[in-house]
Amino acid sequence: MNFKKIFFSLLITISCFGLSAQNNTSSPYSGLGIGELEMSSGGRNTAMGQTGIGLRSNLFMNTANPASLTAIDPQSFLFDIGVNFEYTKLENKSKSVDVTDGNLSWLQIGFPISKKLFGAISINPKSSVGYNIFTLKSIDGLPAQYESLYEGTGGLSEAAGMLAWKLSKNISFGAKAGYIWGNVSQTLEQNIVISSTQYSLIQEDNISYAGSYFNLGTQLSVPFSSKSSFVLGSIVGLSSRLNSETSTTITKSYSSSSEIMASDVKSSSTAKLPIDFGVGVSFLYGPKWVAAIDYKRSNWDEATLNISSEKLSTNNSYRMGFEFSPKNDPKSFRQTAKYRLGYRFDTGYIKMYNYQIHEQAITFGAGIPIKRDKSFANFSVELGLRGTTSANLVQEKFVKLNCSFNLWDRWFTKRQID
Amino acid sequence: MSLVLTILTVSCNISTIEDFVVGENFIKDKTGITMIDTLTIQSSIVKFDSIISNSSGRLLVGNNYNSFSGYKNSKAYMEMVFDDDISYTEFVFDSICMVLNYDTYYSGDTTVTQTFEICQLQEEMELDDNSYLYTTSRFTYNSSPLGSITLTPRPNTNSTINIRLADRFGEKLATMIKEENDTIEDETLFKEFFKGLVIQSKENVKGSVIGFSTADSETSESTETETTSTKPEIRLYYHLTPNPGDLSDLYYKFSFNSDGIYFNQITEDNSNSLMEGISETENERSTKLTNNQLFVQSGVQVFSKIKIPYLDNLFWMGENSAYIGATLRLFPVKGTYKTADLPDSLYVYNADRKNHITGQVTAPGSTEEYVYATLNVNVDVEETVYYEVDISSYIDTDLKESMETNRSFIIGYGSTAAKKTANHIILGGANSGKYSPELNVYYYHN
Repeated sequence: MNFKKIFFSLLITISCFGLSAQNNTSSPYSGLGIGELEMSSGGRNTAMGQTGIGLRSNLFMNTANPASLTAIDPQSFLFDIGVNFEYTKLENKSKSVDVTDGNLSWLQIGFPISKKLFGAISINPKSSVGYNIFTLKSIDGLPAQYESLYEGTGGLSEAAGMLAWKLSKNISFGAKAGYIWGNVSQTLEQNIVISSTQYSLIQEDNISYAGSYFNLGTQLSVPFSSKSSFVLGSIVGLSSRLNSETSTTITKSYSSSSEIMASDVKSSSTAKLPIDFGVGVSFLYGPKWVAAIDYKRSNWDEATLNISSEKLSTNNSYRMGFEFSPKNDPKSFRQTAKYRLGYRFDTGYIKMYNYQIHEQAITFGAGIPIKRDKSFANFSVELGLRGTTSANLVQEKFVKLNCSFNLWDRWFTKRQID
Repeated sequence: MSLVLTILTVSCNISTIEDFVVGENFIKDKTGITMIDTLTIQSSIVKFDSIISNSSGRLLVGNNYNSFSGYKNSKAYMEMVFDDDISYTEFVFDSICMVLNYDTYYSGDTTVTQTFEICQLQEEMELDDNSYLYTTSRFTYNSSPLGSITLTPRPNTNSTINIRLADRFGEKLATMIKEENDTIEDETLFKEFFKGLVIQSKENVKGSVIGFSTADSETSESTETETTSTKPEIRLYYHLTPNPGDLSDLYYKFSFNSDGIYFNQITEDNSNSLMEGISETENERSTKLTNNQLFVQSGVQVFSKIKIPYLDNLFWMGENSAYIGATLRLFPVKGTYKTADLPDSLYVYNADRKNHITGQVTAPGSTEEYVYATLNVNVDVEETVYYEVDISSYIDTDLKESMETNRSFIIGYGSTAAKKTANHIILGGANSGKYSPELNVYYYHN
């Protein structure tokens, strides 16, 4: 029964990844760097302002800190799959445009290996590229402007394996090793009229990425009173490399003829992704209240990417979240609905015209128990803002809906009859 | 779920993202289009002495002068035929004259007095094996003229000029008419008798070259088409004795033979000009020797030649770069022209290393469409006048040939204009400061 369920879920996942040609973003900012960074550590985290470093739960998957896996109940496993839909209004000083996107957010499974050792695997988008940019450029010394159209789709995915060790009742360590891969295709089109002939120069770049990363996490539970406790958590991500190979084709089209100027010219480069570091704390008050605060810092300014370093800056993330379970009765095994609220502020890793592209969002959502076991359907809404309309930039107002199923089930249970 | 459906519905209403213009900074840093205007240009002039000039559609007579090429002189050669309705009547010969009609074309200074002479050919004109005659073709004629006129031409008036011819010539014709001589009835015999004539003007005058009509003009008013005789003719005036009908102004007519041979012989005296010493074999001269000035001329054809010797340098633009196109601008030198007199366009030909024309420069992406150097007049604070030509395909061809280039392109008057006008334009050559040719090469880089 359990395996059927897993198999079925995997099937859905794979078909979702098959559909991942569907854009995950339409942000003009996603053309820079490796695209728009995805936050995909679990359905509960999303509704709680993307907190998670200091969160522990036996019910909900949390891959923000691998040390949290030690909270999984023995002889059970957690399976979490999420999808999202995003509606964005792009605005600059003069115009606005509406776009919608959607995709799989994550698939993650956590399970115990032994009494002290826990494992997890996850697969999720790492970043998304989806832009469609129209701009007018000029040539030095000439009055005329020419049209530039830029289109990009694709993104990076990551698959990770996690291992967590429960040193003692209150101290846990975790490690996460991941593989990052993906494809981004960019079409850069420039149109220029030279002496009444219209020329179209189309550069098609197909970039394939591959890289890996490694990070560590720890959590420390501090019982506070009989009713309440703290969890302190920290994570550190080690610098990781991302290799890319680009295949470039340039086509020149004019007066009904078309010429390939460069065909499948290969180039490769290595990008250095940033070191990150985060701390978080959660406070559990009785069976009904959870509050969490995270701070995370990613040193993007020290990363090397295919854009000028002036456009990269340190990303500081400040996150807070609450969870309220009004009907939760610790004496009952029956699960009740959980209501969540959060706020997050990211300074962003892209800087343009000296404006860092901030992103902030308020989040709210609910976890609704399904069936009679410990499984939940999680819903969340993020209302957010990214960027600014100053300095010819773009502001994005977005509504992101996330829907995930966090399934709890028994894990390799030997029937213990005696 | 209904919320999700609502969102999906919204996605169908996405307004066009093309309207959403964002700043340049959003995209990959380096890609774009660049223009380079620093490629070396070599300029020179090339003189083509002989141009096909028979049946040019205009008779050119006169002299003009410019400081670049010196004196030009044009003579018009033609044949005359008698009119079909010459029939004998009792008449008394009065006088004979030639009538020419201005066709409004002129080039040069029309205020200068010139003398036009009409001389009789001593040999019959013949076309060459290809049925051509050239501006350099020659036929002998009697140097003592049948008649002449000294005048200041007024080509813009629709008037005619009458040149009185020698009475003895008229009397000879009158006698033939009276005798009903076969010469007046048989075309071949007439041609033997009167082989044709040349209209020439005294040389080395800083005057003008004038155009005369070779065809009758037709004016159509509503339904009726009226033909006015405007081609050259010789009129033999007479009166009747007795004259019962009191008729006056009677004449027999010998007309310009439109179907016969006619051509303009145009010569140039380059002495004391910038082109002094240029010859048929050494027909090219660098603008370094012509005050950095380029020149195009019709009548005696002179082309401006442009060579871009280091085009290969474009290959150093790097990988993932692509040549797009190129334009060349040539600037007429202020003070040497009247904007209204400049032709709207000039022809552009490919030339090989021996300056032989190998065809017109084609439009980009076409083998049948050609490019021209077209006149642009921008009136801003100051008037800017230039000829611009799209030389994209010329450079494209050059770039695709790996060998060092020996090619060039030459700009000048087309063959039609060359044989029926005697114009010129002085343009800035390489290194002539603000009149220097502008070569703009556009390329894409990333």
